[in-house]
Amino acid sequence: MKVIGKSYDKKDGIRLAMGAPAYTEDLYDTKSYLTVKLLRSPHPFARIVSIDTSAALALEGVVAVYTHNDVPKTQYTRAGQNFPEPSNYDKRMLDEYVRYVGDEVAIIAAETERIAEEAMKLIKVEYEVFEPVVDAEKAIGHPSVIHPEGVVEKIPSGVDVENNIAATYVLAYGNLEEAFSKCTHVVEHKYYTQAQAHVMMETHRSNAHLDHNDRLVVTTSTQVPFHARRILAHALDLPVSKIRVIKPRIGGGFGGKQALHTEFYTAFVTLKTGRPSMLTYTRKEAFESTYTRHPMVFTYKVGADDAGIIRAIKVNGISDTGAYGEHARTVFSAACLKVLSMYNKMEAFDFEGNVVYTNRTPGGALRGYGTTQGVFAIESAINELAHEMAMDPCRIRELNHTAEGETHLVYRAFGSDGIKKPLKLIENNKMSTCIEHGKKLIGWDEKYGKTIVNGNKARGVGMALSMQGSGIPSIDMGAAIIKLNEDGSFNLMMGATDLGTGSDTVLAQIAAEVLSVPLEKISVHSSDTDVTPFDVGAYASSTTYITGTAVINAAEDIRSQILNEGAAMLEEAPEQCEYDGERVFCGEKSINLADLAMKLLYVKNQKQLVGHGSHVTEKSPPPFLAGFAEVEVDLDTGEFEIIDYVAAVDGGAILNPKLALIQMEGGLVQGMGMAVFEDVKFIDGKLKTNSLLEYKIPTRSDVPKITVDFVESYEPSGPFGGKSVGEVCINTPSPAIADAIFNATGVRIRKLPVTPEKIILGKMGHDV
Amino acid sequence: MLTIREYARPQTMDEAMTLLKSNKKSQVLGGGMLMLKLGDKTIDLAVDLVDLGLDYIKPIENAVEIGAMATFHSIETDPYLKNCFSGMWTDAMKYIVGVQFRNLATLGATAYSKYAFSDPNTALLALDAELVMYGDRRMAFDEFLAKRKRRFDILEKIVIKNPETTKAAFDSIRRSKGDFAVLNAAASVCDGKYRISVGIRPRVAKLATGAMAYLNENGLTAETAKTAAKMAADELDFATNLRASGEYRKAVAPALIERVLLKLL
Amino acid sequence: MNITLTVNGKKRTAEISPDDFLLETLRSLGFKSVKRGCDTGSCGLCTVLVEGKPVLSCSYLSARADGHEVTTIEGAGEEAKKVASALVGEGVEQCGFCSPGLVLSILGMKKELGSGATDDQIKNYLNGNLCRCTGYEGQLRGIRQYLEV
Repeated sequence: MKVIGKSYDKKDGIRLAMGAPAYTEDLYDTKSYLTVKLLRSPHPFARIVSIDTSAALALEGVVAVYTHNDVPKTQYTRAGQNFPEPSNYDKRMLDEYVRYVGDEVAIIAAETERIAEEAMKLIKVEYEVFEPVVDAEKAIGHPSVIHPEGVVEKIPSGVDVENNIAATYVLAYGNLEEAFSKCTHVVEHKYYTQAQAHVMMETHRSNAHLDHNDRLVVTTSTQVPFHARRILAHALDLPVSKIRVIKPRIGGGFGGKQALHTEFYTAFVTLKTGRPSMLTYTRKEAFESTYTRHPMVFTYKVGADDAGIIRAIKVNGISDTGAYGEHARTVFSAACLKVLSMYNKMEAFDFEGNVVYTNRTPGGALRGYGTTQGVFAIESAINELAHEMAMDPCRIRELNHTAEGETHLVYRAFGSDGIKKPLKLIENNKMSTCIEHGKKLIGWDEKYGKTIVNGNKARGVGMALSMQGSGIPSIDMGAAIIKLNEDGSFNLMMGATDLGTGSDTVLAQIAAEVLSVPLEKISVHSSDTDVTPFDVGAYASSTTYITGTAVINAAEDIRSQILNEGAAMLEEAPEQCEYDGERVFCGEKSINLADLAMKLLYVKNQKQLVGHGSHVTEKSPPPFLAGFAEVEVDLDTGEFEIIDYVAAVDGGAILNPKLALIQMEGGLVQGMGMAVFEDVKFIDGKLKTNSLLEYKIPTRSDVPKITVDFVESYEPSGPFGGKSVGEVCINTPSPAIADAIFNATGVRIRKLPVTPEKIILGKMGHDV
Repeated sequence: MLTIREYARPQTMDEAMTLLKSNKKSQVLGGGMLMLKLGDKTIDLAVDLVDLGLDYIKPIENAVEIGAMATFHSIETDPYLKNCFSGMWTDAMKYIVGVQFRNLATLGATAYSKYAFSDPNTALLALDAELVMYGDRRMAFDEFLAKRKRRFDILEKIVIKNPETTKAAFDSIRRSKGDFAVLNAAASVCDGKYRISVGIRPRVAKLATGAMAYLNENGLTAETAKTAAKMAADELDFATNLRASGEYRKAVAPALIERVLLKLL
Repeated sequence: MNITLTVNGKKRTAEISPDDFLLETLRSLGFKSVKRGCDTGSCGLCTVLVEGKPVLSCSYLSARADGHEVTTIEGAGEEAKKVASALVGEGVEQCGFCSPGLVLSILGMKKELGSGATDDQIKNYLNGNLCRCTGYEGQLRGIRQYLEV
């Protein structure tokens, strides 16, 4: 391997670090574009009785104010997913009903931001206020029906608006009662995860203009340009051919931009006024009015026999999707499918639950996508079971986890709910090695089982496992086009979305490897729906695994064309020739690549060589990770430090070790944020933690020593053996740290985040 | 949204006061630009003190003068102050956001605004400090916290007595190191006289006078520290905010206060 | 009102409202490297140097900047490039949104703490520079590389 496996710098690294104006808000003319602002609801649930925009319109510099009377009544889903989307079409651009504090009420377009803000204050709205649904556990059967007009269900998902149910998910196998009867140890507890916020550094924003061909061009900070194009077409009743979506450099996403947010409004304003427009969400809007991780409640009942084999698992869950159901069912089903499948010695399982609507900030995609919430619950339950049985938590995992070459009841049961079958066997799975390495790196055997107390400080260790997927099987598709330039360099065009992760660079590495050229010879252009071929976008840990193979296909395509054309130039048969990245040769005769390229454009047999490839697969080979935490707790105040975190991961072959390491470290710290620092507080349906003053992501002084170990692995179906690491890294900190805290203090925390207060109140007997 | 109609930069204190009194909706701009943006405020006339040369830290006889515009960062790095008050100011400012914030925030604005979420206010209350207002009007900091402010006033400097002979300590309980503390405490001793202040209760810092009297009488040892800490926690009131419950604050206050007192030994 | 400030060594005039903050003014003057990350002075993305000292441009009134010297990364020269290269070398320029503010803060830090800064000192000085992508560890590795040269 010349290029794969090497830690190349990101192609855009130095220029972005030096402040290149390459982001959405840098790429528009501040003087001619209108600024768009959105007036938002102060009530969690209300109907707009009347809305008077006259005073706002009279303000100088205000160009337009739109209410629900002015926009299309089409319902859509904002979720960036494959068509037909498995999320309810339950959202309108503007609606007569407002369903959470922060829901859109009016669109203001003005010459400057200041004028738009003044105009907002002049809009008079009369609301009929209803009693809001603020507790997910009380949503079903609540007198308030959040979507009284009904929603559109493209794929049957069990929606029942009368009961505020957005979706239902049930998966079961075997005889649960009988299986539990064989268990000598059973634990049953309830676990809560919170509505974690993405806090990507660049908030959501887009701008729109009509180009010289009278087409709508939307430049947006998005993870899903192609879904954006389709959903905008639907929402605005425009043909897809009239819309172009471009993703420039963006400042992070983590799933928060796997949906449309601002695009509807800039597109609408531009279409109606004929003028270009820009909308940037404030940090407050990013917190309150986009979406968060779905908070979930799981009741887990886990039973094992005397030998420690987990024979039965029963799960009841509630997922709170808030006012709108983006990603509702799919996130919830991931909390089952990618979680229960980690353990395959059980005879029976039952997973059932509802995703409910509430009058709170909506839930949606966030790195981990339901698996995170499910892992907190299952790993905590299994840790509690291990404790109950006086068994080492690593040991119970070793006895029960799905091993290489094995399958799982989940896959057998999967077909029964009418959705496509995924992979049956997990062919490449180094979980046992992950556990082995992780134990050694944290010193598990020396530390577990002993509560080390020094004065008023106590230490403890805890661990958890996780797996994820690599792309959505049979659904996620990516494509690539490669063309040859006259100097022997290539343009690689892909729809794939680089959020800052460096996918442009890694995919270029793949192309360079297949074409046997140095990385500098590949120029990348991505995420422009006019110029680049289709890609579902950056989610489900799909980019390297799916688009990577598409790039291989495209590169192999053009490679064989180079050989053929070179052979023709040499007047030899292609079978007699070879291409080594620098030249095409046959015996003594050769023509170097740049020469060939130049001739093919200007001199002889003129043609443009273009390679293309697409990829979709039934497979979604999971990455596997074992996470270990060590904490030190002050028993008098509950203050604690995470002093060590180890993650041993099987991500398949690692194509760029440096960038993969940063993904791991970044995801682990984001997981620690969810575990410890990121507290979410709603009061009467209003999100109180709606600024960086109140919602705290980890700072650099909060981060412990982190050790990442990439376990050697090779996935045959992946590009150069690769799988993924992007999401699996966020899942283990919550359960590992919670168990470490328990081992240090005896306090079991089942509601995230873990805090010093919960440790002290837990010691005092409160339920935490 | 912040609206400022007019901005002025006076060159003397007298000029500043004249400007302030000239407009009912005027406001002093000290280090407080940070907090200004957070509200929905309209200021007719902003009177910026930046040219008045109030960013000094000046040792005088048996005291140190800290100008109203001296920033947190200048205070925590000042070569003289680092060796005073047992270096407490470094601890009191260490976890306030970051240096780019501390290069703007001033002790003057923090003290004058009586911010309840503040670490430096708790530290200041534990010292023998007085605020000096325009016209050399002096008031001890604890008195200042208890009284209503004048409508037109300008803080000139803070004077803290006995910097070289006062032992002091500060500590806090916080979740993230980038966050406001959940509870903080500071203590000092000079010539056998003790001061204990506890802040973010979540209300503004307050002196635990009963515990202070106990220590004044019995001196400080590991045992009396424990007793004094319990007394202080008992005599003060605690309540709930987004960050923590009153129950938690009350439960952990003794341990925190004891920690601070033990640093004085 | 009109102000005159020196940005990256050149005198610039701007017509501002008294309630404009330096972040908006700098971006309107074309310095797009200065980024807004929050509304509350909490993230550090907007950090610029005023007379060489790191400050939050989102919380610094432009009116106060009248007559002062401001440095953004566009004018921070070769030294900034060295810092940026060290970060890129560790893979920690990811989405890039926190980078310019971080690089300027590191320049301020080197001036104050020198090359001998400890890990704890580095973390504390830069604690106000948030990052969501990298988990900070790699940034510390990059900063060490830069300081050791």
